Amino acid sequence: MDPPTIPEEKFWRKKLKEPKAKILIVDDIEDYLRSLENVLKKDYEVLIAKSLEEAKEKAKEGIDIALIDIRLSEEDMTNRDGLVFLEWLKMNYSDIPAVVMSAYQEFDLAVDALNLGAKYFLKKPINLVELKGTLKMLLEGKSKD
Amino acid sequence: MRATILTGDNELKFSLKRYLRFLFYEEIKEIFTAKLGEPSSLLPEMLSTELWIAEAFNPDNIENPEGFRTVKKFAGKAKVLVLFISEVPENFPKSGSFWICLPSGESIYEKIKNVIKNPPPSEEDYEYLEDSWDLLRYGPSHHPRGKILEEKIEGT
Repeated sequence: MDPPTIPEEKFWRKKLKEPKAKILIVDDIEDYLRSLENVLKKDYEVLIAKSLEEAKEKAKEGIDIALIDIRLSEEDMTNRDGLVFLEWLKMNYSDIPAVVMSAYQEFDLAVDALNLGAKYFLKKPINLVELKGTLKMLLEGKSKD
Repeated sequence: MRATILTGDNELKFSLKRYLRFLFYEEIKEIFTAKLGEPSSLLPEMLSTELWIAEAFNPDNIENPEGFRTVKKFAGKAKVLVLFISEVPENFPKSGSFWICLPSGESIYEKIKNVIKNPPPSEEDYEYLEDSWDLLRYGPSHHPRGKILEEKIEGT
């Protein structure tokens, strides 16, 4: 016997009711935040944060995925607050997948990020196809867990 | 044993990969490769490989000891061979338990054999090289602004 099919109208009603996944973007540069927000807001609910403290507060609201820049200060070249936030996130919400991004093209920073629990390291400028594919894959993986 | 080859140069990467595959097929069962300056080429599996062979400096940025800094993260955990291919200071030791300056008359085969046999280099071992050459302490300090997104999406 064939499995029962869902009428199209019912399918779309269900689809429209599904809440969008919530993505937190953490970056100190306004241009990056706005550009990424514009690109992602069609498919996701986007939260943004420009500092470590703001990122922690937003994460407490409940997020599905975090997209974090390593450096969160334009003035301080040694700033690694993005990695500090990643460590905090993994300690408090270990099931939230995190993607780290950086304009630094430094391999050792990627080692730090993955050691702290990031799933992927994306190099700035962000490749949108890669970003969207990564987010989709992580969210699908998360829904299977 | 699994190995990661980290170089800035593709030719070197492929040569080393072939070398390991043909001459160390008994010891090394899986080989990963990654590129300096391309942090997205790092895979989580590489973090647990027992052996790293890394070019110390990124050839595209010859003052950036990115490979050295990377393998130092594995001090005490992974066996390492650091390759110094560019010019080194006069007083810099040309070869040691976990590094070699190339070109060299030494046998690379023996070098890798010894690296595999010996325990992983410690933090102090890396610091010894940093003391011999200050440049090895150099960390990333640039943060190029450049483009925001690689592709322009209509309407954004």
